Amino acid sequence: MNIGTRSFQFHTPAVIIDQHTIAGPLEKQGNLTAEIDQFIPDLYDDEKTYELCYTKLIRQTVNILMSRHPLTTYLFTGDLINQSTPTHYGLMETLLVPVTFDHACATFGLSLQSAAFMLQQGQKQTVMVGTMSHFAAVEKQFRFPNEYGQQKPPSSQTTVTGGGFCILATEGEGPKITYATLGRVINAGFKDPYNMGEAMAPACFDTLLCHFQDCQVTPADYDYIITGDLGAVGQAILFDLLVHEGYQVNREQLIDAGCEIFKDHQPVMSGGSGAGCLSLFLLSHGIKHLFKQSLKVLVIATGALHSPVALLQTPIIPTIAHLVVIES
Amino acid sequence: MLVSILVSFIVGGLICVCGQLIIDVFKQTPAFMLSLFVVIGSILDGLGLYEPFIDFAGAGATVPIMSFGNALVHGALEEAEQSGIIGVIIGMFQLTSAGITSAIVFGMIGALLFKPKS
Amino acid sequence: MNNKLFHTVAEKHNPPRPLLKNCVMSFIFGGVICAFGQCISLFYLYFFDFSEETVGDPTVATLILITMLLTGFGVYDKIAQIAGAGTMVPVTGFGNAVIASAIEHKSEGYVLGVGGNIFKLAGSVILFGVFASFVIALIKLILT
Repeated sequence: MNIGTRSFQFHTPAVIIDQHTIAGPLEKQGNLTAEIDQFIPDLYDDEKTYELCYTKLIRQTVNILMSRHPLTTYLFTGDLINQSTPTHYGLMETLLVPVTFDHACATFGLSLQSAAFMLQQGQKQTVMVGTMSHFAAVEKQFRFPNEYGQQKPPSSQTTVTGGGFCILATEGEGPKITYATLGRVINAGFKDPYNMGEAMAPACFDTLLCHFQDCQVTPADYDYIITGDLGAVGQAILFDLLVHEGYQVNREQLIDAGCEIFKDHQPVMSGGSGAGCLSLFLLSHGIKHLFKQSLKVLVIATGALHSPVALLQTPIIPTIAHLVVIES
Repeated sequence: MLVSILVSFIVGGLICVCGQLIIDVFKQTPAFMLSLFVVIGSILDGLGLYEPFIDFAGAGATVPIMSFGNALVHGALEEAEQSGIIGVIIGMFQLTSAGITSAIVFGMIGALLFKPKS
Repeated sequence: MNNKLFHTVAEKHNPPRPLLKNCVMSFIFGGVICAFGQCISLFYLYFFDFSEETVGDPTVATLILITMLLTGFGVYDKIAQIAGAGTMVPVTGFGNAVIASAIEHKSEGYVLGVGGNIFKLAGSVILFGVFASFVIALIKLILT
């Protein structure tokens, strides 16, 4: 049901009934070691190239879930490499129909929303949702060769290696997706590719405001506001913006997936990022710890929609943020 | 001997600090900074200042990328003395071939030997 | 949307680059590389048949050889994160730009991958160096 301008309430909520997460060596040393299902030993995992390893990560995770839920028909996903090639190459042996999005790190949010919309049809079916990212493959695509000696400023973020896929169904046990607010493309005039936090925080803020107005709610109605990968910088900006707008919000209420995955001493600068960042956090720590209690949580996936070529031609970083409400 | 090492340490270090300031204070990309340094190197040699600088600082002046611009101009001018204006084109890479050739050759060897590591 | 507010708030939270630390580190690392280059020069001067003018060539080649090893073993980028311009400005930074591109694009094959991308990063240095030198050499020839 459409509420307000960009928000929807689902009359049959989609339930997250199963999930599988996988991550790389750096994430293994982080905070979520006990809650992530599988780790790869290095960024190659016996493959020849980083891109093939990216494909393998997706293939493995999808196959594990397909073996448990063989009747799944659609996969809502997307990745950061040109035209989602790792995803499409990874699905060659499955019967899944891929529905891929190009919303960078916000892909997981849009995938959850789209899957929830599809489950509104009323058919008894299961769909798969998930995202994956790979540090070295993304670094090569968006920045410089991995061995190139550049100095990253403290505001930069590190792409997470890993991610998670989950199965959504109309019935079953698990956290439910009850509301969604779709984002729009925001240009706040930021152009530093080494500071994604400041570029994405306005988009996150815009979607949050839209949700609060559409659904007539305030931050106090939610236990947590989980952001995708704003990092330490973006999270601080979002907090200030919310307070400036007059909302009562606790600092502890805001959780950023990018900040939670890694320990403070790890060399990730402002925190993790990437398409797999939010899905890894939500489907490991979220499912296995947070949603064990009865909670109502706002989940916002934020993404920057630039490409290296576009950024050189038009120095603008457009961003987007998609929101879902998860209740358990 | 020790003095020459010390001088090259200080001079080379100071040039690198200038580069760091261009990146951090003037918010330029490393590629811009390096290109600027090469152009400065060739201008300095055009003014005849880089040779005395090398005599003074040794490797402190030849190892930073500025010396690439210096060597380009120097090679071009040396050849131009002998074969006229066409020497600018003939002699351009005469003195810089060590840097470029070894970078290309070792780049190829590196590609043959190593796998990308993050 | 209030872009001015966004920029004011973002400015407040943008972590400053550690300027002093970066400068000290680039001074030390850049200085050490140049001093090391001087040591190599002295070595070639004393033990081989090189003159003051020609000793630069083997020095540069040796430095780039060492860069190749450090880049190949994945150490150079780790040092560069600390050293900043200290590892970019010396000729080792030029070598690293060439070698890193070559190694990274090996996965796309030797002809189009390595061959097509080897000057991806170092190309601008060569372009502007050569073009500026061409102009300057011409001016100097015309003036004298």
